Amino acid sequence: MQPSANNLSDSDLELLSAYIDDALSVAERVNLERRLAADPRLRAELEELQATTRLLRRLAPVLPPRSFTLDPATAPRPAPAFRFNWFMQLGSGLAGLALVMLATLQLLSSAPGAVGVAPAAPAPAAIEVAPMGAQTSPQAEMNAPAAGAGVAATPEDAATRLQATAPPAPDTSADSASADGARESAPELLATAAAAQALPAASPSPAARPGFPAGFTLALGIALIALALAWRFIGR
Amino acid sequence: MASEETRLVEAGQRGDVEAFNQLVRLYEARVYNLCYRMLGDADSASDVTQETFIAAYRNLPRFRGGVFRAWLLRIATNTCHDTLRARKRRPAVSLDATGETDSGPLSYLTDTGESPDETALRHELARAIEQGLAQLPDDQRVVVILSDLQGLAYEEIAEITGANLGTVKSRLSRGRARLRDILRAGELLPSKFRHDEE
Repeated sequence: MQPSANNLSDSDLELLSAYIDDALSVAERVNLERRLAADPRLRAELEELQATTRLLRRLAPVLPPRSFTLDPATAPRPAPAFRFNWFMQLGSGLAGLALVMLATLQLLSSAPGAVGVAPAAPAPAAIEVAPMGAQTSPQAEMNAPAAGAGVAATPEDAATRLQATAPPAPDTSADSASADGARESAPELLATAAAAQALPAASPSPAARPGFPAGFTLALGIALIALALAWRFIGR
Repeated sequence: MASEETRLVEAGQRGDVEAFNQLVRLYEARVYNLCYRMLGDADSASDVTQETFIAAYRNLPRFRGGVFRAWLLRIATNTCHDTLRARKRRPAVSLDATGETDSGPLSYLTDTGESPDETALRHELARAIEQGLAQLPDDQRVVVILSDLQGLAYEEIAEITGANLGTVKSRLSRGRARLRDILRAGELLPSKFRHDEE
């Protein structure tokens, strides 16, 4: 049995181990070889570690006792890479549906009879606080003079119109702002304005912004629904 | 080769079991050997190897490129660690049983054209090394197996074990030193093996 040479530091052990694997830098190797030449104890340590490593490397691999291939009939289905697929399908489909409904509302409210009664001036408050949401919207143009003149036939009528104008604002703050404008210019519609304010922003899509014709909204909605279906049936 | 492997991985990700099975055939010996050396008995190694491939197939869509072998061996290593932890909670199988079970495939140091005495010595040393490996701490054993039995580079071992390069080098050196101590204590590191192959 060899005399024990166990008192090497961890760093020296690491150097010897890396030396065996030829994983030292040139400087480290030169320095270590100089030490090895001068220190028989270090040399003996290296030889033992080399012998151990050599024995390990000569250990023959064992043969697997059987094949580990999977049976196609019982193989588990691979987990989907993206777990939000269903969410995206549902979201896209719902957004499309909402756009189609919005376009239908737009088309209905711009039907002959409803159009043409509005001259020019929109409600000033609406212009001030919600220029994007209400300023140039045909619905706003329709509603504002009606509200200002106090000619809203029935509260139901006004409510319908307000609902049609509520979605265009891209966020809830603009929503309430345009509702505030309506409140200022049309005190008699306070109750219905509050109702409109309480409505969730059902479709915050930019397609509902003023300047987008109903046809475009409709097309976008249908495209989104088609995308959701294609995703479901083809995308997998 | 790499592109063929990539093709098989992509087909497997689409649910092509046969393509995945080609990957299994390519790597099953390596995975089985890693499990066998980690766990020390053939039955557990078979179970864990099968578990590894099932888990790999199930999670294949989450493999985002890189070295497939390292990814696979990482699953195998983690599954081995799980098994070893479970064993420690209810110790029934001892790693010291390595090489002494009837079901375990005995491995031998490779050599040819040797005398019966040399063959006997070779077998004794193989058994001693298997038992020495079994005595190493898990984190050192896996690095020694991947480096000295499977011939992998430090970088790939770091990827498989999730440790940094410095930790790999340190575990390897300590594992080798400890194994050397075990062999020496059992007088199983004869001078013949220390000097005759220089």
